[in-house]
Amino acid sequence: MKKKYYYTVAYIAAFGTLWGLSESTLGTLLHALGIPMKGALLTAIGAFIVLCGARLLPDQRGIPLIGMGFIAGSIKILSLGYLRVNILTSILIESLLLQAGVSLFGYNRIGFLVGGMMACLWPLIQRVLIYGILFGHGIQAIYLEMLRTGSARLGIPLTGFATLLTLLFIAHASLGALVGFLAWRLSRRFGHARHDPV
Amino acid sequence: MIRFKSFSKWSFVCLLAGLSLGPWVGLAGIAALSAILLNVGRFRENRSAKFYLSVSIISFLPYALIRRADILHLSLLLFFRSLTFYNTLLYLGENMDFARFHRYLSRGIGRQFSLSLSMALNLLPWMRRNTLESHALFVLRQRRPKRFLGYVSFIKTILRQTIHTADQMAENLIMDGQSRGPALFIITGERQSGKTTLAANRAAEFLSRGWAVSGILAPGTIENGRRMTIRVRNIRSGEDRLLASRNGDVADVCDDYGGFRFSKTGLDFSLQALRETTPDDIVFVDEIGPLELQGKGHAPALRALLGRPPAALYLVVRLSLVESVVKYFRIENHTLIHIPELSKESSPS
Repeated sequence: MKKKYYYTVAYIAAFGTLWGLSESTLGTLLHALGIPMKGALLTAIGAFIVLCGARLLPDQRGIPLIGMGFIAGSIKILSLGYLRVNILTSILIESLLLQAGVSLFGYNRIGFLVGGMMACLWPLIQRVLIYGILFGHGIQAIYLEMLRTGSARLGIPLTGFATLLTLLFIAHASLGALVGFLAWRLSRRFGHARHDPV
Repeated sequence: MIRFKSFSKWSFVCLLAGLSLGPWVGLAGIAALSAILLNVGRFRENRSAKFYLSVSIISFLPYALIRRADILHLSLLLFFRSLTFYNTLLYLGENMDFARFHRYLSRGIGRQFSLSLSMALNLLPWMRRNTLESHALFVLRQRRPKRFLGYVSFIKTILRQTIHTADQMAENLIMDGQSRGPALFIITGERQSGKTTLAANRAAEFLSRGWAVSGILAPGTIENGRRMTIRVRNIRSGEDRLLASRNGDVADVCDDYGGFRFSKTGLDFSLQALRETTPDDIVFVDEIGPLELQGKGHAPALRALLGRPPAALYLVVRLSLVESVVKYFRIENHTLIHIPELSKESSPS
């Protein structure tokens, strides 16, 4: 039982560190390059790492994925040069969504797919949600007005924006599902990797 | 937590952090210089040359590409902040009481997560170097990747390294736990099997050898094979009080359990005796029972002892409650001293 505990702690530490590393190195690079959907891409990479680690945990009880998120967020927040607390919050929420997926549906294909999808949808909805919480009810009117103005200037009907949002939603969800599937497939091969020399 | 000899050093670190986070380059520069002075003389030990070089390149590369005043401002801020944080973290790391930090962190986020975080911070430099070296090797070997599978094998390599690292860390933790040896003993047996007697004999033996012994023992009176009263004895002072009784002779009842009425005076006396223990003592706690499993009785004092373990801790626990006590108080490393039912030591005078 003790052995299981120490292995679980070590795996949470190792995979949380890997996620934090990917956020701090790749994150800086992707933000600098300014490529589209960089938030979803970073989240997908993080979700992949966490789900691989989740499969290999000796003791899957409790909230180990949130632990990995906490470690990743701590490492990200200590990245040199800047200090942004909202990044820690985002990472924690992503880990919470991953944990919710596997806790609700189990550490199986469905749980991984659902967890991956929920986590990858977070970058899409986070701005809307956070600004809605911060600014309150009036933000909806502002968003609608922005859409109307954009529609008038670009000559795109409002339904076009709805279609665009739907496509973005599907793209994010598909990415998350793909990540969950890949994590399940790849981590299965590492079940015997323990104690193998690298 | 941080081994500062005076309050001024702690204030100084906070001031540095405040100066460097502001938008003024001048103040950030002063903070960076002050932080470097904290570690002056340890330049070679900390292998800082590579770090300073890489930070310089990262900070000033944008300005080298885009020659604008606002970019220079940002580059300078990034450079000075990096130096300040790096040197301050180095200084804090060398002066920090990690055991205390780990205890406070455990209380905040739980033992498992705090242990994981501590391990992760130790692991970070090594994993960063390994991952970057693996990527560099991958890029050098695959100048023109022919197949997508090449990237997949790189990902597998990183995952395999991570698993190997986690396994090594876990094995180190297990070996460390085993080598440290148990410092917590649970004297257990059935009712009236001689648990208190054994604990009293052990305490007397330690005292006769000159060891510092403290804590409480709970002898009592037995009538017709049934315990009627529980007294509590402070091992260090030798005084005792009535802790609980079935006879109804407790004036200040604070709790009621299993037919026993517990005395507030007696309980306060025993809690005080447990508070007076020192980290160098061999401490006896007699007994941990159903009342403690409800968070009452000696439970608060026991939690405090488990948080700051003494040299050795002996707990007296009924056999049927051992598993519950271990789980409730999250006791990990312990040795059971099991008294068989027929074997009873002679009681001390």
